[in-house]
Amino acid sequence: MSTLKTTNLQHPSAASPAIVLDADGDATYSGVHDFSAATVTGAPQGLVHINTTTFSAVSSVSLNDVFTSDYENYLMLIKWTASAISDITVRMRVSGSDNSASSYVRQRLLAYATSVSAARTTGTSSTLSNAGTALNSLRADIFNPFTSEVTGIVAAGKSSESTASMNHSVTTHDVASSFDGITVFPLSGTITGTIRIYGYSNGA
Amino acid sequence: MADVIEINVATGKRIERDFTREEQAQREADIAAAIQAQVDADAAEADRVALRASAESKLAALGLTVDEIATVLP
Repeated sequence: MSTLKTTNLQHPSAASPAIVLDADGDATYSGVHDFSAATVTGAPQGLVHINTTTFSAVSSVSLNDVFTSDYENYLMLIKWTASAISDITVRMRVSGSDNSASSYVRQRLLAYATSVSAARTTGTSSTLSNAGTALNSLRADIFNPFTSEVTGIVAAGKSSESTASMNHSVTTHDVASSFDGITVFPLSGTITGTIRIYGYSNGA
Repeated sequence: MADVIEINVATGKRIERDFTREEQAQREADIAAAIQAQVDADAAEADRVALRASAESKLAALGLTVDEIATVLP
């Protein structure tokens, strides 16, 4: 094996180096680097895409084996239209079954035009957002679903009711338990859209 | 159309199916609970509106203007 010692890697016809190596061995990249045909290894940083699921006119969407020991916390992005004005709701899952115990404590803050209301409820599921029939969107950070701790969800929803209304909700599943999946469903009618799940990397 | 889409993220297997009997029962219970929650919320809101109207009327009888009442009642 031999070692090529240099500080710059540059194509003869390029105006400047594509890779510059400093004395510590760090590499600085410039320009466009196409890794589309490569397999990149190493611990990914930041948000890591896990799954995208599209669905059409269904009453319920369940994701199994989406929460694993790979990540502690997750981001769920949902965009959807609905057949009826209805809240969008979740249940945690394990081994392919919903957890329907009355263990979901939810605090909600709903803003609808100039009306603001709040409520805390305990039930067998938890509402993430209100929703209209046009395009709705929400983000939900899900904390500790797989670890045997209390699971927390912090959600912010943009409802298409009256074009734009908003719902901020937090949920505690107040029984420390491990879940590997989640079910998303409207309280009435059907939904059409996309769910994307990402894992938050804790770093290398 | 199927009631449920179930995805196994680890394997990529996608199942589209109708509710099981248990899921259908849970669905009906969820809908009933949502309807009852809305009925309760509407009743609470009606009570609040009536109480506010009563309070506004009593404050007006004391001589407060509409603007003054607005500073007292949120």
